[in-house]
Amino acid sequence: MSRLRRVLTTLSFCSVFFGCGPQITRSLNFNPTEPLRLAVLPFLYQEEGKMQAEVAPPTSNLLIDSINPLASAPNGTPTQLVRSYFHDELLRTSFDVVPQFAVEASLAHAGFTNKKGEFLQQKIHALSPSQICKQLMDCDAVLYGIVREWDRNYYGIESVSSVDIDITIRSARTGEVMFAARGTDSDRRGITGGPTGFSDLLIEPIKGLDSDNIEKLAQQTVKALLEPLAVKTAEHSPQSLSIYAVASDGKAGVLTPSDSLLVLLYGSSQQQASFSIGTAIQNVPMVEKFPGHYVGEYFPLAGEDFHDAMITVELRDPAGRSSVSVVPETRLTLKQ
Amino acid sequence: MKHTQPLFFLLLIPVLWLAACGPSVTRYSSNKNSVQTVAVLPLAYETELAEERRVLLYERLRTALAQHGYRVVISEVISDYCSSHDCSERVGLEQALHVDAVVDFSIASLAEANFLGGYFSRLSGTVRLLQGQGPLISVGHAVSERGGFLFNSGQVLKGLESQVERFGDSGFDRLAQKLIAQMVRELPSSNPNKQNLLSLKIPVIEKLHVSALGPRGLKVCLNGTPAHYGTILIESRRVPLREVQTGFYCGAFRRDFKGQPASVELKSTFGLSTRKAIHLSEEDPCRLAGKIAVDVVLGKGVKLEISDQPGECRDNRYVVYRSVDTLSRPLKVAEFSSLLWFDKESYSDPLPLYFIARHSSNDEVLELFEVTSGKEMDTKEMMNFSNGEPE
Repeated sequence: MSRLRRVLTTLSFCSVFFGCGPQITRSLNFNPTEPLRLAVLPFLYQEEGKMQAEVAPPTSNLLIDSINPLASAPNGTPTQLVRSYFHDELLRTSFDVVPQFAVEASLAHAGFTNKKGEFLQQKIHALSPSQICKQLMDCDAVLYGIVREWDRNYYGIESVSSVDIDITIRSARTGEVMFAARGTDSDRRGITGGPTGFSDLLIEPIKGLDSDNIEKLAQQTVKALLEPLAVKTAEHSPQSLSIYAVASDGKAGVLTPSDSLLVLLYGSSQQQASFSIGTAIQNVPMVEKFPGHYVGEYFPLAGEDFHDAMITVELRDPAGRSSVSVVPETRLTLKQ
Repeated sequence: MKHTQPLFFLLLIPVLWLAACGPSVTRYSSNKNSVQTVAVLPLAYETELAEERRVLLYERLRTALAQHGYRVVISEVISDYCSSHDCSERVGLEQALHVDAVVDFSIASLAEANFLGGYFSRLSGTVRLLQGQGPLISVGHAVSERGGFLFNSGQVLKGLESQVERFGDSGFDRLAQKLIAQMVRELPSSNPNKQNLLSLKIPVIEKLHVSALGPRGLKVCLNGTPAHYGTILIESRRVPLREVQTGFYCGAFRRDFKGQPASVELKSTFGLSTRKAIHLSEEDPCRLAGKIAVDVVLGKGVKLEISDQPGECRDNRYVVYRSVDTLSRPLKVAEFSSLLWFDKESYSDPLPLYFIARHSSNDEVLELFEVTSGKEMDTKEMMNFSNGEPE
């Protein structure tokens, strides 16, 4: 009976740890489909409760990082790594991220670096979004990020890696918080991982200190933080994307500057449709007049010219999948 | 023999293990110019890859290169030069965009096996930095990921957790990030100090115009920094503008988009951009309100002059009405289509009241207003005007 109790206690202990995912708090106060331009500032390292941020972000290297087959060296400082993960994950959102070189060069030009070329992060974080977006660079919103924890601890039969990341996106126009999120997560190796033998009980906690683990943990946390901003991915969009029929009134093959070309598409509804003429005219928008019925029109502009060009139509879903079709028997020439 | 065989395998396993770790790097000595600006060619792939995955790999590489310190040309510009990986205009692209090198990225293989007890995925590819006609560096690498219960037998719960985490396409994404990060790390780093000194030329949008294009079209134009990439953003849709003259970008589409919130954007080759909000309702270029000057020219009469009338308004007809005071019925006195008209019948004392009606080519009254005060009137008031023969 006491043996059963012990097993149950161990299992519940394990399940408590196993069940713990990242702890995330978020607040979203804008429409995440808006294609706003976002400047991602260099991240601060500031532990909870500390008033001052670290002047130079810690590298948090451990001895194990230099033992090659056992662990790998970190790919940068925690603040650099977390910022790069945000750049990676922001690809999944509608934000148009201001290039990193532009942010860094603008800050350097404005004197926000010390003699060694390191960013004066506290001064940078004290700038308002409108100062950043109107005086330093051209943007619509600013992402301020703080790494509050980046720890790897070893306790003999258990090792724990933990991260705590805090971000705020503020509007340059109003200064208001558009999105705020904070996430903490930890990765445990050893006794709570359910080792199958004594050797695993000793080796796994050491392996758990590998910088790869904490980097993976931070990546997952960043991904979870930005979850509400992510555009739908293909696996969340089960609807098929089909073009049933296409037509145009360009059968004559020749357009003059006073003509226009009408293109019709019949396909899956509630998608974005556009058409292109050769390589000269790209993505002319089409509007969905009735469910599944899209219409678009090309109006020649001064200086445009194409010869024997194909008309292609494209239907695109919010996940980025697309379906392309060619308007049959239509090759078009624009004579100026 | 009995003893050598196990010994051989004992040595071989760690050798293979270590050899498989790092990317294979080939450096070419012919080109040694430093690289700061790069353009990434469309992805080449020898294996079946869904479009979303191709886009993901391409964009991940662009992000990784930017984080490595390079200035990376925006993908919209690349598609203007190269539609596929076999880009015959590659050298032209290098010269036209003034980039130091182009990046050639190819995916050689992708293997994915997912079974009940675990999973195993492997992705391999090559990144080459090409300068002029030859390569500067070539980095080939393969990464793999395994997990699930079978491959994590040391940590049973961790194994199960990793299987759950592999939801959707996140496994492929992790693999792609790992492959790209490890390959890009081997590329020569750009000189950040020198890069900071490069001036940041943010493009400028000077003037915006929205006009009607026939009965169904809407034309949006902007004057701005030449040789940039112009777009109009209508909700979440990006519609390219065409640079029809140097620094003059235009786009035309159906009037259905009228009234929708929109903004125009001008983007440099390296992604620096500027935006301006635009209201998608046409400003009628032929509109007369505020464009007519009344002047008294001694010996000639009263001069009515239209300023800034664009050539597109030639189809319009202007009818002038005159009344001696506010109580009299205005009489039609002239019809003109040029910019200037003299009323030789009237003199300054007292100055009569002039009204102008703008008619379209099919004689519809588009505008009516009182010239001296500039007050716009309801076109229905035309009924009170006398349609007598012009003097």
